Amino acid sequence: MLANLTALGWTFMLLSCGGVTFLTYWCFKKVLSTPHDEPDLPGGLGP
Amino acid sequence: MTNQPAQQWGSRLGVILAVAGSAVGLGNFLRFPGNAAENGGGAFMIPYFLALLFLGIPIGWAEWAMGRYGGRKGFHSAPGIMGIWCKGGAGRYLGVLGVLIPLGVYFYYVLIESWCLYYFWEYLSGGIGLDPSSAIEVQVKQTREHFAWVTGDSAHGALFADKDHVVHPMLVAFGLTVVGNIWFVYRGLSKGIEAVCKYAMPVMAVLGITILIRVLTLDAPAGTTGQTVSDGLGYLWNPNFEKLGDFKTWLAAAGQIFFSLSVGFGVIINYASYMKKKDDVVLSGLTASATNEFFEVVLGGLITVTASVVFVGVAVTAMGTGGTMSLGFKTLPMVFAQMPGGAFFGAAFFLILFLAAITSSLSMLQPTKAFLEEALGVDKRVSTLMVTAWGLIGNFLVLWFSKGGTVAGTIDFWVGTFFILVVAAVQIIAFGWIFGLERGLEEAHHGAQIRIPRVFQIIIKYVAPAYLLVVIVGFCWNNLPDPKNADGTPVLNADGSRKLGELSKIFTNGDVQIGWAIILVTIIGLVTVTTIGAKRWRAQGLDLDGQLPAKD
Repeated sequence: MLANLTALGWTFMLLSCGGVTFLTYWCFKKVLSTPHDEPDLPGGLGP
Repeated sequence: MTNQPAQQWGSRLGVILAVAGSAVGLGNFLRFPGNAAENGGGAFMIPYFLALLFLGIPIGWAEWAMGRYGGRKGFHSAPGIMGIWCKGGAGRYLGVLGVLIPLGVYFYYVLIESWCLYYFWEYLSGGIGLDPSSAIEVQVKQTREHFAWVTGDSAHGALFADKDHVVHPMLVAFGLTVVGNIWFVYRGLSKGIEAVCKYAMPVMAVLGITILIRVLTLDAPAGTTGQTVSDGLGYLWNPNFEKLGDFKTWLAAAGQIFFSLSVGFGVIINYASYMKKKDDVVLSGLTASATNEFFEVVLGGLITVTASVVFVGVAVTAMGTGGTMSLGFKTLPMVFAQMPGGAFFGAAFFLILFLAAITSSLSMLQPTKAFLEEALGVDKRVSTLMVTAWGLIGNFLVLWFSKGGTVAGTIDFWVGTFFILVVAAVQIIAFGWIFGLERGLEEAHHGAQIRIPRVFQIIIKYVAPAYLLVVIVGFCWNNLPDPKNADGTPVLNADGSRKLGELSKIFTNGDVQIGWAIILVTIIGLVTVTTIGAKRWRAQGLDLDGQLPAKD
Protein backbone atom coordinates (compact mmCIF):
# COMPACT_ATOMS: atom_id res chain seq x y z
CA MET A 1 0.00 0.00 0.00
CA LEU A 2 2.76 2.44 0.92
CA ALA A 3 5.06 3.46 -1.89
CA ASN A 4 7.21 6.34 -2.95
CA LEU A 5 5.55 8.91 -5.09
CA THR A 6 5.35 7.28 -8.53
CA ALA A 7 5.63 8.99 -11.90
CA LEU A 8 1.84 8.98 -12.18
CA GLY A 9 1.55 10.32 -8.64
CA TRP A 10 3.95 13.12 -9.55
CA THR A 11 1.88 13.85 -12.65
CA PHE A 12 -1.41 14.09 -10.77
CA MET A 13 0.13 16.14 -7.98
CA LEU A 14 1.90 18.61 -10.25
CA LEU A 15 -1.05 19.02 -12.61
CA SER A 16 -3.51 19.52 -9.75
CA CYS A 17 -1.39 21.85 -7.64
CA GLY A 18 0.08 23.65 -10.64
CA GLY A 19 -3.33 24.06 -12.23
CA VAL A 20 -5.06 25.64 -9.25
CA THR A 21 -2.01 27.80 -8.46
CA PHE A 22 -1.93 29.12 -12.02
CA LEU A 23 -5.69 29.74 -12.02
CA THR A 24 -5.47 31.63 -8.72
CA TYR A 25 -2.52 33.68 -9.99
CA TRP A 26 -4.28 34.48 -13.27
CA CYS A 27 -7.49 35.51 -11.53
CA PHE A 28 -5.80 37.82 -9.03
CA LYS A 29 -3.59 39.30 -11.74
CA LYS A 30 -6.69 40.08 -13.78
CA VAL A 31 -8.58 41.47 -10.77
CA LEU A 32 -5.73 43.69 -9.63
CA SER A 33 -4.67 44.92 -13.06
CA THR A 34 -8.08 46.05 -14.29
CA PRO A 35 -9.44 49.48 -13.42
CA HIS A 36 -12.44 49.30 -11.13
CA ASP A 37 -14.98 51.14 -13.24
CA GLU A 38 -15.24 49.69 -16.69
CA PRO A 39 -17.97 49.94 -19.26
CA ASP A 40 -20.25 46.93 -19.36
CA LEU A 41 -19.40 44.11 -21.69
CA PRO A 42 -22.19 43.43 -24.11
CA GLY A 43 -24.91 41.41 -22.45
CA GLY A 44 -25.67 37.81 -23.30
CA LEU A 45 -23.39 34.90 -23.85
CA GLY A 46 -19.67 34.73 -24.41
CA PRO A 47 -17.91 33.67 -27.59
CA MET B 1 -35.81 48.43 4.54
CA THR B 2 -34.62 50.45 7.51
CA ASN B 3 -33.65 54.09 7.57
CA GLN B 4 -29.98 53.36 8.15
CA PRO B 5 -27.54 53.87 5.24
CA ALA B 6 -27.17 50.90 2.90
CA GLN B 7 -24.13 48.75 3.60
CA GLN B 8 -21.56 48.12 0.93
CA TRP B 9 -18.16 46.55 0.45
CA GLY B 10 -15.10 48.73 0.72
CA SER B 11 -13.31 47.28 -2.28
CA ARG B 12 -13.64 44.62 -4.92
CA LEU B 13 -10.71 42.66 -3.52
CA GLY B 14 -12.45 42.84 -0.15
CA VAL B 15 -15.60 41.08 -1.31
CA ILE B 16 -13.54 38.42 -3.13
CA LEU B 17 -11.50 37.73 0.00
CA ALA B 18 -14.65 37.73 2.13
CA VAL B 19 -16.29 35.10 -0.09
CA ALA B 20 -13.05 33.12 -0.28
CA GLY B 21 -12.72 33.43 3.51
CA SER B 22 -16.21 32.06 3.90
CA ALA B 23 -15.34 29.10 1.67
CA VAL B 24 -11.92 28.30 3.12
CA GLY B 25 -12.57 26.41 6.31
CA LEU B 26 -11.55 23.33 8.23
CA GLY B 27 -12.67 21.09 5.38
CA ASN B 28 -9.93 22.44 3.11
CA PHE B 29 -7.14 21.36 5.42
CA LEU B 30 -8.64 18.29 7.07
CA ARG B 31 -11.53 16.84 5.06
CA PHE B 32 -10.04 17.12 1.57
CA PRO B 33 -6.83 15.13 2.14
CA GLY B 34 -8.68 12.37 3.98
CA ASN B 35 -11.30 12.22 1.26
CA ALA B 36 -8.67 12.06 -1.48
CA ALA B 37 -6.57 9.41 0.27
CA GLU B 38 -9.61 7.18 0.82
CA ASN B 39 -11.01 7.58 -2.68
CA GLY B 40 -8.25 6.80 -5.14
CA GLY B 41 -5.52 9.32 -4.30
CA GLY B 42 -4.48 11.16 -7.46
CA ALA B 43 -7.30 9.50 -9.40
CA PHE B 44 -9.76 11.26 -7.04
CA MET B 45 -8.78 14.53 -8.70
CA ILE B 46 -10.54 13.50 -11.94
CA PRO B 47 -14.08 13.46 -10.48
CA TYR B 48 -13.06 16.30 -8.18
CA PHE B 49 -12.19 18.71 -10.98
CA LEU B 50 -15.16 17.57 -13.07
CA ALA B 51 -17.42 18.43 -10.13
CA LEU B 52 -15.70 21.81 -9.85
CA LEU B 53 -16.35 22.48 -13.54
CA PHE B 54 -19.91 21.17 -13.72
CA LEU B 55 -21.24 22.04 -10.25
CA GLY B 56 -19.12 24.39 -8.20
CA ILE B 57 -18.26 27.12 -10.67
CA PRO B 58 -21.61 27.37 -12.53
CA ILE B 59 -23.75 27.30 -9.37
CA GLY B 60 -21.39 29.82 -7.83
CA TRP B 61 -21.80 32.18 -10.80
CA ALA B 62 -25.57 31.80 -10.60
CA GLU B 63 -25.54 32.61 -6.89
CA TRP B 64 -23.35 35.69 -7.34
CA ALA B 65 -25.64 37.01 -10.10
CA MET B 66 -28.79 36.25 -8.09
CA GLY B 67 -27.46 38.05 -5.05
CA ARG B 68 -26.42 41.18 -6.91
CA TYR B 69 -29.74 41.34 -8.76
CA GLY B 70 -31.68 40.90 -5.51
CA GLY B 71 -29.66 43.68 -3.90
CA ARG B 72 -30.67 46.07 -6.66
CA LYS B 73 -34.28 45.29 -5.85
CA GLY B 74 -33.70 46.10 -2.19
CA PHE B 75 -33.21 42.59 -0.79
CA HIS B 76 -30.19 41.14 0.98
CA SER B 77 -31.53 37.88 2.38
CA ALA B 78 -32.12 34.54 0.69
CA PRO B 79 -35.91 34.60 1.28
CA GLY B 80 -36.22 38.02 -0.36
CA ILE B 81 -33.87 37.24 -3.25
CA MET B 82 -35.13 33.75 -3.99
CA GLY B 83 -38.69 35.05 -3.94
CA ILE B 84 -37.70 37.32 -6.82
CA TRP B 85 -35.85 34.67 -8.82
CA CYS B 86 -38.52 32.01 -8.27
CA LYS B 87 -41.28 34.55 -8.87
CA GLY B 88 -43.34 33.94 -5.78
CA GLY B 89 -43.93 32.72 -2.27
CA ALA B 90 -42.67 29.17 -2.78
CA GLY B 91 -39.20 30.46 -3.61
CA ARG B 92 -39.39 32.89 -0.71
CA TYR B 93 -40.13 30.13 1.78
CA LEU B 94 -37.54 27.80 0.25
CA GLY B 95 -35.20 30.74 0.70
CA VAL B 96 -35.69 30.35 4.45
CA LEU B 97 -33.25 27.44 4.11
CA GLY B 98 -30.69 29.98 2.89
CA VAL B 99 -30.84 31.62 6.33
CA LEU B 100 -31.31 28.41 8.29
CA ILE B 101 -28.12 26.88 6.86
CA PRO B 102 -25.63 29.55 7.96
CA LEU B 103 -27.40 30.09 11.29
CA GLY B 104 -27.78 26.38 12.05
CA VAL B 105 -24.20 25.61 11.08
CA TYR B 106 -23.07 28.52 13.27
CA PHE B 107 -24.66 26.78 16.27
CA TYR B 108 -21.94 24.11 16.23
CA TYR B 109 -19.26 25.58 13.99
CA VAL B 110 -18.31 28.24 16.49
CA LEU B 111 -17.60 25.47 19.00
CA ILE B 112 -15.15 23.83 16.60
CA GLU B 113 -13.63 27.26 16.10
CA SER B 114 -13.21 27.46 19.87
CA TRP B 115 -11.39 24.10 19.88
CA CYS B 116 -8.95 25.54 17.30
CA LEU B 117 -8.37 28.61 19.47
CA TYR B 118 -7.88 26.44 22.54
CA TYR B 119 -5.42 24.11 20.80
CA PHE B 120 -3.58 27.16 19.44
CA TRP B 121 -3.26 28.47 22.99
CA GLU B 122 -2.05 25.08 24.22
CA TYR B 123 0.67 24.91 21.56
CA LEU B 124 1.73 28.47 22.37
CA SER B 125 2.13 27.16 25.92
CA GLY B 126 4.25 24.21 24.80
CA GLY B 127 1.86 21.56 23.48
CA ILE B 128 -0.84 19.24 24.78
CA GLY B 129 1.49 17.20 26.97
CA LEU B 130 2.25 14.22 24.74
CA ASP B 131 5.46 12.29 25.36
CA PRO B 132 6.97 11.56 21.92
CA SER B 133 9.05 8.71 23.34
CA SER B 134 5.99 6.80 24.54
CA ALA B 135 4.47 4.04 22.44
CA ILE B 136 2.22 5.21 19.63
CA GLU B 137 -0.73 3.37 21.19
CA VAL B 138 -0.27 5.43 24.36
CA GLN B 139 -0.18 8.64 22.34
CA VAL B 140 -3.32 7.64 20.43
CA LYS B 141 -5.10 7.08 23.74
CA GLN B 142 -3.85 10.37 25.18
CA THR B 143 -4.86 12.48 22.19
CA ARG B 144 -8.31 10.90 22.15
CA GLU B 145 -8.82 11.49 25.86
CA HIS B 146 -7.63 15.05 25.55
CA PHE B 147 -9.97 15.73 22.63
CA ALA B 148 -12.88 14.16 24.53
CA TRP B 149 -12.10 16.42 27.48
CA VAL B 150 -11.98 19.54 25.29
CA THR B 151 -15.26 18.69 23.58
CA GLY B 152 -17.14 17.36 26.60
CA ASP B 153 -17.70 14.13 24.73
CA SER B 154 -18.18 11.93 27.81
CA ALA B 155 -21.58 13.18 28.98
CA HIS B 156 -24.14 15.91 28.47
CA GLY B 157 -23.14 18.97 30.46
CA ALA B 158 -19.56 17.70 30.95
CA LEU B 159 -18.08 21.08 30.02
CA PHE B 160 -20.04 22.70 32.83
CA ALA B 161 -19.02 20.11 35.45
CA ASP B 162 -15.22 20.24 35.24
CA LYS B 163 -13.94 19.62 38.77
CA ASP B 164 -10.36 20.72 38.04
CA HIS B 165 -11.19 24.27 36.98
CA VAL B 166 -13.58 26.98 38.09
CA VAL B 167 -14.54 27.36 34.45
CA HIS B 168 -13.59 24.77 31.83
CA PRO B 169 -10.85 26.39 29.68
CA MET B 170 -12.75 25.50 26.52
CA LEU B 171 -15.62 27.69 27.71
CA VAL B 172 -13.20 30.60 28.00
CA ALA B 173 -12.06 29.98 24.42
CA PHE B 174 -15.71 29.74 23.40
CA GLY B 175 -16.54 33.05 25.08
CA LEU B 176 -13.65 34.82 23.34
CA THR B 177 -14.63 33.32 20.00
CA VAL B 178 -18.27 34.40 20.32
CA VAL B 179 -17.34 37.93 21.38
CA GLY B 180 -14.97 38.20 18.41
CA ASN B 181 -17.63 37.03 15.98
CA ILE B 182 -20.30 39.36 17.32
CA TRP B 183 -17.97 42.34 17.39
CA PHE B 184 -16.85 41.99 13.80
CA VAL B 185 -20.36 41.33 12.52
CA TYR B 186 -21.64 44.38 14.41
CA ARG B 187 -18.97 46.54 12.78
CA GLY B 188 -20.54 45.73 9.44
CA LEU B 189 -19.39 44.52 6.06
CA SER B 190 -16.53 46.85 5.31
CA LYS B 191 -15.12 47.55 8.77
CA GLY B 192 -15.84 44.11 10.16
CA ILE B 193 -15.99 41.10 7.87
CA GLU B 194 -13.98 42.60 5.02
CA ALA B 195 -11.30 43.95 7.34
CA VAL B 196 -10.85 40.57 9.04
CA CYS B 197 -10.65 38.69 5.75
CA LYS B 198 -8.19 41.14 4.19
CA TYR B 199 -5.73 40.35 6.96
CA ALA B 200 -6.64 36.77 7.77
CA MET B 201 -6.42 35.38 4.24
CA PRO B 202 -2.84 36.54 3.52
CA VAL B 203 -1.75 35.47 7.03
CA MET B 204 -3.21 32.02 6.42
CA ALA B 205 -1.46 31.79 3.06
CA VAL B 206 1.93 32.80 4.49
CA LEU B 207 1.64 30.48 7.49
CA GLY B 208 0.42 27.64 5.26
CA ILE B 209 3.26 28.04 2.77
CA THR B 210 5.77 28.20 5.66
CA ILE B 211 4.48 24.92 7.09
CA LEU B 212 4.36 23.40 3.61
CA ILE B 213 8.02 24.22 3.00
CA ARG B 214 8.92 22.73 6.39
CA VAL B 215 7.01 19.53 5.67
CA LEU B 216 8.43 19.08 2.17
CA THR B 217 12.00 19.57 3.41
CA LEU B 218 11.84 17.13 6.30
CA ASP B 219 14.89 14.91 6.57
CA ALA B 220 14.39 11.36 5.43
CA PRO B 221 13.41 9.53 7.48
CA ALA B 222 12.43 12.35 9.85
CA GLY B 223 10.34 10.36 12.27
CA THR B 224 10.48 7.03 13.98
CA THR B 225 8.43 5.31 11.29
CA GLY B 226 11.21 5.13 8.72
CA GLN B 227 8.94 6.71 6.16
CA THR B 228 9.87 9.63 3.96
CA VAL B 229 8.16 12.67 2.52
CA SER B 230 7.96 10.80 -0.77
CA ASP B 231 6.05 8.02 1.01
CA GLY B 232 3.66 10.57 2.47
CA LEU B 233 3.03 12.21 -0.87
CA GLY B 234 2.70 8.80 -2.50
CA TYR B 235 0.06 7.79 0.06
CA LEU B 236 -2.10 10.72 -0.98
CA TRP B 237 -1.26 11.24 -4.67
CA ASN B 238 -0.44 7.85 -6.23
CA PRO B 239 -3.56 7.12 -8.27
CA ASN B 240 -5.74 4.07 -7.76
CA PHE B 241 -7.88 4.01 -10.90
CA GLU B 242 -10.02 1.12 -9.66
CA LYS B 243 -11.73 3.58 -7.31
CA LEU B 244 -13.13 5.46 -10.32
CA GLY B 245 -15.48 2.53 -10.89
CA ASP B 246 -17.04 3.09 -7.46
CA PHE B 247 -19.99 5.50 -7.41
CA LYS B 248 -19.09 6.53 -3.86
CA THR B 249 -15.84 8.05 -5.13
CA TRP B 250 -17.77 10.33 -7.50
CA LEU B 251 -20.20 11.21 -4.74
CA ALA B 252 -17.36 12.02 -2.35
CA ALA B 253 -15.69 14.24 -4.96
CA ALA B 254 -18.91 16.14 -5.71
CA GLY B 255 -19.59 16.50 -1.99
CA GLN B 256 -16.09 17.81 -1.35
CA ILE B 257 -16.32 20.44 -4.09
CA PHE B 258 -19.82 21.38 -3.18
CA PHE B 259 -19.41 21.95 0.52
CA SER B 260 -15.95 23.42 0.18
CA LEU B 261 -17.01 26.24 -2.12
CA SER B 262 -19.94 27.36 0.10
CA VAL B 263 -22.34 27.33 -2.86
CA GLY B 264 -25.96 26.90 -1.78
CA PHE B 265 -24.99 27.98 1.72
CA GLY B 266 -26.86 31.29 1.71
CA VAL B 267 -23.69 33.36 2.12
CA ILE B 268 -22.65 34.23 -1.44
CA ILE B 269 -26.20 35.37 -2.26
CA ASN B 270 -26.11 37.70 0.76
CA TYR B 271 -22.58 39.01 0.15
CA ALA B 272 -23.21 39.65 -3.56
CA SER B 273 -26.39 41.59 -2.75
CA TYR B 274 -24.24 44.47 -1.51
CA MET B 275 -22.56 44.88 -4.92
CA LYS B 276 -23.52 47.44 -7.54
CA LYS B 277 -24.76 46.61 -11.02
CA LYS B 278 -21.42 47.54 -12.57
CA ASP B 279 -19.42 45.45 -10.12
CA ASP B 280 -18.04 42.32 -11.74
CA VAL B 281 -19.38 39.03 -10.48
CA VAL B 282 -18.02 36.59 -13.06
CA LEU B 283 -14.30 37.09 -12.46
CA SER B 284 -14.92 37.74 -8.77
CA GLY B 285 -16.76 34.43 -8.41
CA LEU B 286 -14.05 32.56 -10.29
CA THR B 287 -11.32 34.22 -8.20
CA ALA B 288 -13.01 33.31 -4.92
CA SER B 289 -13.39 29.70 -6.11
CA ALA B 290 -9.78 29.55 -7.31
CA THR B 291 -8.53 30.89 -3.98
CA ASN B 292 -10.50 28.23 -2.15
CA GLU B 293 -9.00 25.58 -4.44
CA PHE B 294 -5.47 26.82 -3.78
CA PHE B 295 -5.96 26.44 -0.04
CA GLU B 296 -7.60 23.06 -0.50
CA VAL B 297 -5.50 21.29 -3.13
CA VAL B 298 -2.06 22.83 -2.54
CA LEU B 299 -2.02 23.48 1.20
CA GLY B 300 -4.60 20.89 2.25
CA GLY B 301 -3.30 18.29 -0.17
CA LEU B 302 0.39 18.56 0.63
CA ILE B 303 0.69 19.29 4.35
CA THR B 304 -1.42 17.25 6.73
CA VAL B 305 -1.38 13.70 5.40
CA THR B 306 2.24 13.95 4.25
CA ALA B 307 3.45 14.99 7.70
CA SER B 308 1.21 12.44 9.35
CA VAL B 309 2.57 9.50 7.31
CA VAL B 310 6.16 10.56 7.96
CA PHE B 311 5.80 10.88 11.70
CA VAL B 312 3.11 8.46 12.79
CA GLY B 313 2.85 6.04 9.88
CA VAL B 314 0.12 4.92 7.55
CA ALA B 315 -1.95 2.97 10.08
CA VAL B 316 -2.42 5.89 12.45
CA THR B 317 -2.91 8.31 9.55
CA ALA B 318 -5.62 6.09 8.09
CA MET B 319 -7.47 6.17 11.43
CA GLY B 320 -7.49 9.95 11.20
CA THR B 321 -8.59 10.28 7.59
CA GLY B 322 -11.98 8.79 8.44
CA GLY B 323 -13.24 12.13 9.69
CA THR B 324 -12.44 15.82 9.63
CA MET B 325 -12.02 16.12 13.37
CA SER B 326 -9.97 12.95 13.77
CA LEU B 327 -7.17 14.07 11.48
CA GLY B 328 -6.95 17.56 12.94
CA PHE B 329 -7.44 17.02 16.64
CA LYS B 330 -6.37 13.43 17.23
CA THR B 331 -3.71 12.55 14.64
CA LEU B 332 -1.87 15.82 14.04
CA PRO B 333 -1.08 16.45 17.74
CA MET B 334 0.99 13.23 17.60
CA VAL B 335 2.76 14.58 14.52
CA PHE B 336 3.60 17.84 16.26
CA ALA B 337 4.88 15.91 19.30
CA GLN B 338 7.38 14.09 17.05
CA MET B 339 8.32 17.02 14.81
CA PRO B 340 11.32 19.22 15.67
CA GLY B 341 9.87 22.61 16.64
CA GLY B 342 6.50 20.93 16.95
CA ALA B 343 5.08 23.47 19.40
CA PHE B 344 5.71 26.31 16.95
CA PHE B 345 4.31 24.43 13.96
CA GLY B 346 1.38 23.19 16.04
CA ALA B 347 0.56 26.75 17.09
CA ALA B 348 0.91 27.96 13.50
CA PHE B 349 -1.29 25.17 12.20
CA PHE B 350 -4.09 25.70 14.71
CA LEU B 351 -3.88 29.45 14.12
CA ILE B 352 -4.51 28.73 10.42
CA LEU B 353 -7.46 26.56 11.35
CA PHE B 354 -8.82 29.24 13.68
CA LEU B 355 -8.50 31.96 11.04
CA ALA B 356 -10.09 29.68 8.45
CA ALA B 357 -12.92 29.02 10.88
CA ILE B 358 -13.54 32.62 11.94
CA THR B 359 -13.63 33.92 8.36
CA SER B 360 -16.29 31.27 7.78
CA SER B 361 -18.29 31.80 10.98
CA LEU B 362 -18.48 35.57 10.40
CA SER B 363 -20.17 34.82 7.10
CA MET B 364 -22.70 32.63 8.90
CA LEU B 365 -24.07 35.43 11.09
CA GLN B 366 -24.31 38.13 8.42
CA PRO B 367 -27.19 36.55 6.41
CA THR B 368 -29.39 36.27 9.52
CA LYS B 369 -28.53 39.79 10.60
CA ALA B 370 -29.43 41.14 7.16
CA PHE B 371 -32.61 39.07 7.12
CA LEU B 372 -33.80 40.42 10.49
CA GLU B 373 -33.06 44.00 9.43
CA GLU B 374 -34.97 43.82 6.19
CA ALA B 375 -37.85 41.65 7.38
CA LEU B 376 -38.51 43.36 10.72
CA GLY B 377 -37.20 46.84 9.90
CA VAL B 378 -34.84 46.89 12.90
CA ASP B 379 -31.51 48.72 12.94
CA LYS B 380 -28.11 47.06 13.14
CA ARG B 381 -27.88 47.25 16.93
CA VAL B 382 -31.15 45.41 17.39
CA SER B 383 -30.38 42.91 14.63
CA THR B 384 -26.95 42.23 16.16
CA LEU B 385 -28.56 41.69 19.56
CA MET B 386 -31.15 39.37 18.09
CA VAL B 387 -28.66 37.31 16.10
CA THR B 388 -26.37 37.17 19.14
CA ALA B 389 -29.17 35.85 21.33
CA TRP B 390 -30.35 33.38 18.68
CA GLY B 391 -26.81 32.16 18.10
CA LEU B 392 -26.04 31.85 21.82
CA ILE B 393 -29.15 29.79 22.49
CA GLY B 394 -28.14 27.40 19.71
CA ASN B 395 -24.50 27.35 20.87
CA PHE B 396 -25.52 26.63 24.44
CA LEU B 397 -27.79 23.75 23.45
CA VAL B 398 -25.02 22.16 21.37
CA LEU B 399 -22.50 22.82 24.17
CA TRP B 400 -24.73 21.24 26.78
CA PHE B 401 -25.83 18.22 24.75
CA SER B 402 -22.23 17.36 23.95
CA LYS B 403 -22.17 13.60 24.52
CA GLY B 404 -20.85 11.82 21.46
CA GLY B 405 -21.36 14.95 19.36
CA THR B 406 -24.70 13.53 18.19
CA VAL B 407 -26.71 16.75 18.43
CA ALA B 408 -24.09 18.70 16.49
CA GLY B 409 -23.77 15.81 14.05
CA THR B 410 -27.52 15.81 13.42
CA ILE B 411 -27.55 19.53 12.63
CA ASP B 412 -24.47 19.06 10.45
CA PHE B 413 -26.02 16.23 8.48
CA TRP B 414 -29.41 17.80 7.79
CA VAL B 415 -28.73 21.54 7.82
CA GLY B 416 -25.05 21.62 6.92
CA THR B 417 -25.23 18.96 4.23
CA PHE B 418 -28.64 17.89 2.96
CA PHE B 419 -30.34 21.33 2.91
CA ILE B 420 -27.35 22.82 1.07
CA LEU B 421 -27.98 20.41 -1.77
CA VAL B 422 -31.64 21.44 -1.78
CA VAL B 423 -30.87 25.17 -1.86
CA ALA B 424 -28.30 24.74 -4.63
CA ALA B 425 -30.82 22.77 -6.69
CA VAL B 426 -33.44 25.50 -6.24
CA GLN B 427 -30.92 28.16 -7.19
CA ILE B 428 -29.67 26.53 -10.39
CA ILE B 429 -33.23 25.72 -11.49
CA ALA B 430 -34.36 29.27 -10.70
CA PHE B 431 -31.43 30.69 -12.67
CA GLY B 432 -31.60 28.40 -15.68
CA TRP B 433 -35.31 27.68 -15.96
CA ILE B 434 -37.56 30.08 -14.00
CA PHE B 435 -35.77 33.41 -14.40
CA GLY B 436 -34.49 32.27 -17.79
CA LEU B 437 -30.96 31.30 -18.80
CA GLU B 438 -30.33 34.09 -21.31
CA ARG B 439 -31.73 36.71 -18.95
CA GLY B 440 -29.73 35.25 -16.09
CA LEU B 441 -26.48 35.27 -18.06
CA GLU B 442 -27.18 38.79 -19.27
CA GLU B 443 -27.58 39.81 -15.64
CA ALA B 444 -24.34 38.04 -14.71
CA HIS B 445 -22.47 39.83 -17.52
CA HIS B 446 -23.23 43.36 -16.32
CA GLY B 447 -19.84 44.81 -15.45
CA ALA B 448 -18.15 41.47 -16.10
CA GLN B 449 -14.41 41.48 -16.75
CA ILE B 450 -14.50 38.08 -18.36
CA ARG B 451 -17.27 36.35 -20.23
CA ILE B 452 -18.82 33.10 -19.17
CA PRO B 453 -17.88 30.67 -21.98
CA ARG B 454 -20.77 29.62 -24.18
CA VAL B 455 -20.43 25.95 -23.15
CA PHE B 456 -21.73 26.95 -19.73
CA GLN B 457 -25.11 27.64 -21.34
CA ILE B 458 -25.54 23.87 -21.59
CA ILE B 459 -23.82 23.18 -18.29
CA ILE B 460 -26.01 25.58 -16.29
CA LYS B 461 -29.26 24.57 -17.95
CA TYR B 462 -28.86 20.81 -18.19
CA VAL B 463 -25.65 19.35 -16.81
CA ALA B 464 -25.53 21.00 -13.37
CA PRO B 465 -29.18 20.27 -12.46
CA ALA B 466 -28.85 16.66 -13.66
CA TYR B 467 -25.51 16.20 -11.88
CA LEU B 468 -27.00 17.67 -8.72
CA LEU B 469 -30.02 15.38 -8.95
CA VAL B 470 -27.72 12.35 -9.15
CA VAL B 471 -25.73 13.65 -6.17
CA ILE B 472 -28.90 14.20 -4.10
CA VAL B 473 -30.33 10.76 -4.95
CA GLY B 474 -26.99 9.07 -4.29
CA PHE B 475 -26.56 10.96 -1.03
CA CYS B 476 -30.02 9.94 0.18
CA TRP B 477 -29.53 6.33 -0.96
CA ASN B 478 -26.27 6.06 0.95
CA ASN B 479 -27.39 7.76 4.16
CA LEU B 480 -31.11 7.64 4.81
CA PRO B 481 -32.12 3.94 4.89
CA ASP B 482 -30.61 1.46 7.34
CA PRO B 483 -27.36 0.17 5.79
CA LYS B 484 -27.26 -3.41 4.55
CA ASN B 485 -24.49 -5.80 3.59
CA ALA B 486 -24.18 -7.13 0.05
CA ASP B 487 -26.19 -10.23 1.04
CA GLY B 488 -29.05 -8.07 2.36
CA THR B 489 -28.34 -8.62 6.06
CA PRO B 490 -28.25 -5.54 8.32
CA VAL B 491 -24.89 -3.95 9.13
CA LEU B 492 -24.07 -4.31 12.82
CA ASN B 493 -22.23 -2.02 15.21
CA ALA B 494 -19.30 -3.25 17.31
CA ASP B 495 -21.69 -3.99 20.20
CA GLY B 496 -23.88 -6.18 17.98
CA SER B 497 -26.71 -3.67 17.65
CA ARG B 498 -28.09 -2.86 14.24
CA LYS B 499 -26.56 0.14 12.49
CA LEU B 500 -29.24 2.68 11.66
CA GLY B 501 -29.70 5.07 8.77
CA GLU B 502 -30.38 8.76 9.34
CA LEU B 503 -34.15 8.33 8.97
CA SER B 504 -34.42 5.58 11.60
CA LYS B 505 -32.30 7.60 14.00
CA ILE B 506 -34.92 10.36 14.05
CA PHE B 507 -37.43 7.98 15.58
CA THR B 508 -35.15 6.06 17.91
CA ASN B 509 -32.29 8.26 19.10
CA GLY B 510 -33.05 10.87 21.76
CA ASP B 511 -30.05 13.05 20.93
CA VAL B 512 -30.97 13.07 17.26
CA GLN B 513 -34.45 14.19 18.30
CA ILE B 514 -32.92 17.05 20.30
CA GLY B 515 -30.97 18.06 17.20
CA TRP B 516 -34.15 17.98 15.15
CA ALA B 517 -36.03 19.98 17.79
CA ILE B 518 -33.38 22.71 17.47
CA ILE B 519 -33.73 22.63 13.69
CA LEU B 520 -37.53 22.75 13.73
CA VAL B 521 -37.76 25.59 16.25
CA THR B 522 -35.28 27.57 14.16
CA ILE B 523 -37.27 26.92 10.98
CA ILE B 524 -40.50 28.01 12.67
CA GLY B 525 -38.82 31.22 13.85
CA LEU B 526 -37.44 31.99 10.39
CA VAL B 527 -40.72 31.22 8.63
CA THR B 528 -42.53 33.55 11.04
CA VAL B 529 -40.05 36.34 10.33
CA THR B 530 -40.40 35.71 6.60
CA THR B 531 -44.19 36.01 6.81
CA ILE B 532 -43.91 39.27 8.75
CA GLY B 533 -41.31 40.49 6.27
CA ALA B 534 -43.43 39.64 3.23
CA LYS B 535 -46.27 41.76 4.63
CA ARG B 536 -43.91 44.66 5.25
CA TRP B 537 -42.32 44.39 1.82
CA ARG B 538 -45.71 44.33 0.15
CA ALA B 539 -46.84 47.33 2.17
CA GLN B 540 -43.69 49.16 1.10
CA GLY B 541 -44.50 48.46 -2.54
CA LEU B 542 -41.44 46.28 -3.12
CA ASP B 543 -41.45 43.87 -6.04
CA LEU B 544 -41.09 40.79 -3.86
CA ASP B 545 -42.39 38.39 -6.52
CA GLY B 546 -39.95 39.54 -9.19
CA GLN B 547 -42.51 40.87 -11.64
CA LEU B 548 -40.67 44.07 -12.58
CA PRO B 549 -37.19 44.69 -14.00
CA ALA B 550 -34.54 45.81 -11.53
CA LYS B 551 -33.55 49.45 -11.23
CA ASP B 552 -30.05 50.33 -12.42
